[in-house]
Amino acid sequence: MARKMRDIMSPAPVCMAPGESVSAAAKAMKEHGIGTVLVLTEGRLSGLVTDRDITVRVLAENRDPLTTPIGDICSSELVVLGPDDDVEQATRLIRERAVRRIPVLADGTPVGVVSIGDLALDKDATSALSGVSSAPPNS
Amino acid sequence: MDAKVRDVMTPGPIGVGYYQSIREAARTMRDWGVGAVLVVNDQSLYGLVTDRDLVVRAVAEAKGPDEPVGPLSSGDLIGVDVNADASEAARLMRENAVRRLPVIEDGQVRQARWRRRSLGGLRWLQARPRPSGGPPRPTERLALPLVLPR
Repeated sequence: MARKMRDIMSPAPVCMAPGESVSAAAKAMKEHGIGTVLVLTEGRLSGLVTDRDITVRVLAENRDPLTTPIGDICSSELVVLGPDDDVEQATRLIRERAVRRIPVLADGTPVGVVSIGDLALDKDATSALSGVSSAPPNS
Repeated sequence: MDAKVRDVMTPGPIGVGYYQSIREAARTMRDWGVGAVLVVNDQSLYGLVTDRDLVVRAVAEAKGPDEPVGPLSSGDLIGVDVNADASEAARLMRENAVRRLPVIEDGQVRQARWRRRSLGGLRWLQARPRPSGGPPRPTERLALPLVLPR
């Protein structure tokens, strides 16, 4: 059974600059079937934007997605893991820090994102959450 | 004994009208701290819309925030009876790849909100109090079939 982040993460995360628009991030989420975009500033991870962030910080606040940069709405207090960190560490961090997804960095370079769904798939492939998490996303 | 759906569900379904705006749906999700709301059309349950739906079906398609949210929702809604075993809810969630289930009692929607119960486990419908003094939710006391065609 897979126990390391490298085994369970979603690889090849989509990364964008903080100046890119919320609209561009939304299109990337649709195109790639993902809910998370990593924000890189000068090659370093500086934040994370989720579909929920766009909903509650842009749509609900009546901001214009075309002109709002993702740097304005991203979460910047980041919990991160390495590819060789194990599932127990990820589980503990998700619980303690009340986050639902964690970027995985190798030498400062984003290499993946691990989410609760990925942990559920690892822990119990027969659970309802794992079945849902492995289904294709809405588009 | 297996837990029943009524033991694990969230009271007070959160809904928006079909013709309410995308912005209003987003605000409902923000104010209630949920990622999905029921969509109601003319006293009938039409479907469910999630925060992801708003992003990939509206923002990514350059739909304005004043446009109606109804067309963004997913139809073919699956529900579970309030007296069913919780394991039945889990099976329906798995088979239909949904993480939220409206709960039906006597043909009427009773509960629809839910949150994660345990890491790696199911997403349950779970109890959560409404803000005091709030208006009656528009989706209470609906009549609906268990599965609606789109």
